[in-house]
Amino acid sequence: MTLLMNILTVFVSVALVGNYVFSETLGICPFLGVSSKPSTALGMGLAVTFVMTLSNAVTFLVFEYLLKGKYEYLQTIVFILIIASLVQFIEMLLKKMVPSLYKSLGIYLPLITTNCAVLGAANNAVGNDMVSGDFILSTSYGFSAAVGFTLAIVIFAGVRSRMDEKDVPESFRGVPITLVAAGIVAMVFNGLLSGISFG
Amino acid sequence: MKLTDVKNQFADGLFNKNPLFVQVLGTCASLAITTTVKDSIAMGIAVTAVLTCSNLLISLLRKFIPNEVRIASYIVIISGFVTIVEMLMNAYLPDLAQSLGAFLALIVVNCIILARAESYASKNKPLPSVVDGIAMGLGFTLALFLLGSVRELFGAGTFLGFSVFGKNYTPIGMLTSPPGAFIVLGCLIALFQYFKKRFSVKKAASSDAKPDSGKPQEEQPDNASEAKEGDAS
Amino acid sequence: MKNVKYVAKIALPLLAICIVTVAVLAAVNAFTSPVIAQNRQSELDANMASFFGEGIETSVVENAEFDKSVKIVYSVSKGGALTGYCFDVTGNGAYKGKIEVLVAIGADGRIIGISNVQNGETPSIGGRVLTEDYISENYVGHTSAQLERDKDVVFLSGATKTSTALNNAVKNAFAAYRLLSEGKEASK
Repeated sequence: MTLLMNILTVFVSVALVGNYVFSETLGICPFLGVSSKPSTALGMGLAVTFVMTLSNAVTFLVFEYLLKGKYEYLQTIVFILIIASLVQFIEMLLKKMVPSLYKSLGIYLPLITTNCAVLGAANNAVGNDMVSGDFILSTSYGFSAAVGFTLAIVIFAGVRSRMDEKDVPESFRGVPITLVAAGIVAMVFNGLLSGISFG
Repeated sequence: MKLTDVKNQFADGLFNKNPLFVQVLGTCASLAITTTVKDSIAMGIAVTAVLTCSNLLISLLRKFIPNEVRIASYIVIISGFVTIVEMLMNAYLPDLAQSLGAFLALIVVNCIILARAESYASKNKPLPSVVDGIAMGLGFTLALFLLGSVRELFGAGTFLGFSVFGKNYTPIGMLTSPPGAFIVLGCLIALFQYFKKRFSVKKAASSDAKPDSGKPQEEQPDNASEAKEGDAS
Repeated sequence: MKNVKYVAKIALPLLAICIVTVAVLAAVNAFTSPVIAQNRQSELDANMASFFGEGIETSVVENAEFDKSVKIVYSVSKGGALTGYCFDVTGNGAYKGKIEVLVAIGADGRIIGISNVQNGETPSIGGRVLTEDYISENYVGHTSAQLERDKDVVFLSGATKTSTALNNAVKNAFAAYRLLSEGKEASK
């Protein structure tokens, strides 16, 4: 029962309240570049969720049983190599099993390796009081962060699909207006959740 | 011949191909770190150090690294330098290391470094690669500095920790929060694009483009949040 | 045979780079980790001195019932008599801001002082929270009962993340303190 409560707490505090995009500002590059089609955004989110859940699971095991204590300074290099391998693996998997998604994600698929959210979630899980030292909680942490990321990019794809570039002043076209819109969405998102506090 | 190349590289790094304002790389760190000017500069310097070292090493090894494993090799090299910077900072500049926090380790996934490794260092000689590293790093630091200045000045009323406007100024707290970061960055990029258009004609005499457009750009952001009409003098 | 040669040809340079990198990191680690450990120790000593004064003996207290948020507990004595405890605690903030601080609580149950150990995972302007004034106004000299009543601890605008975190850290310290003082009462 307590485990379930803990998983739920982790989920709400990472996917919603401490959303990786709107609150921690991680995972911004793909967030900005993702298409304005919510379906592609969802596909991207699912791929990232898969990678992040696996990555948190694997990095937890490696840290707990290999690195902790004497080899902690190797955390950065080992974690990023694990992530790079996982992304490579996902690429091959998608190419074989869902080639349409593979094609529509294009360059953004290998770029998941440099998505700060992935490495960020792995690192944060190690340093977080609540989930460090617990395999299930650490993995849920990665999953929750990814779900929050997916939520953010899907919402935002919807917002972007409604923005017409012709209404925007010239200097703001492209990235700038996207950022300003993202800021407004972030304010709303955080504002809606401001009542919730976990401590 | 050589000196003009270097000047062009700096013009690119600082202005024409500014990693943050033009290439829009390294956004994660820039949104989170720039709440104070001190942190912005610290991050900028850390990134420049890693970028320059990795550019140098990758350029030196460019004929040795097989094409199929190049990305993996770059990642290993970059994370090596990031870890070294982490360890040195924790030992000799612990306060700075604490302010940068988790984002110090995240330099390894800062797209700027991998992008420069892939598009420049792997195809050029060591010396130009070092210059590229310094130029792009400086450009990134400049961008972070501008972003941090706006956010700290108007969001907290201080600059480098020193109170600027006195007790009567009510800070616009929102600017120091993530949504504020998005908006300020968006406005700065818009401003930058505007200036780039106005001054791009001068690219031919590239050594003039930098000092000329550098100045109005530095003054403008202070007014950017007040006069959002986006007009220059 | 050709296949193996090909794989070796592309894998070996990568392997070589990995090995050299790890070796360099191990070397740098060898000479920076003692420096880091030394820094921590002197920081701790300085903090202890400012809380409790000179001539103190400290020892680490272990207790299986301490919450995960309590990192280390030091019991501080002067001339054999218990002067108080120092708690290295963390506290979670409203969103995800986490703070780690040293909270010194005297034998009378009052807070002697709070100092910074590490200012949270993601940097924020919350660094401002730990100013002398803020802490002495709202925390120093208070007992846990007083803090419960005084819901008026003013959260700095724009730094809500870290202020809630600090409050929670102090709460965690008191929880550990209660555990210790109750344990003492029981053993009497």
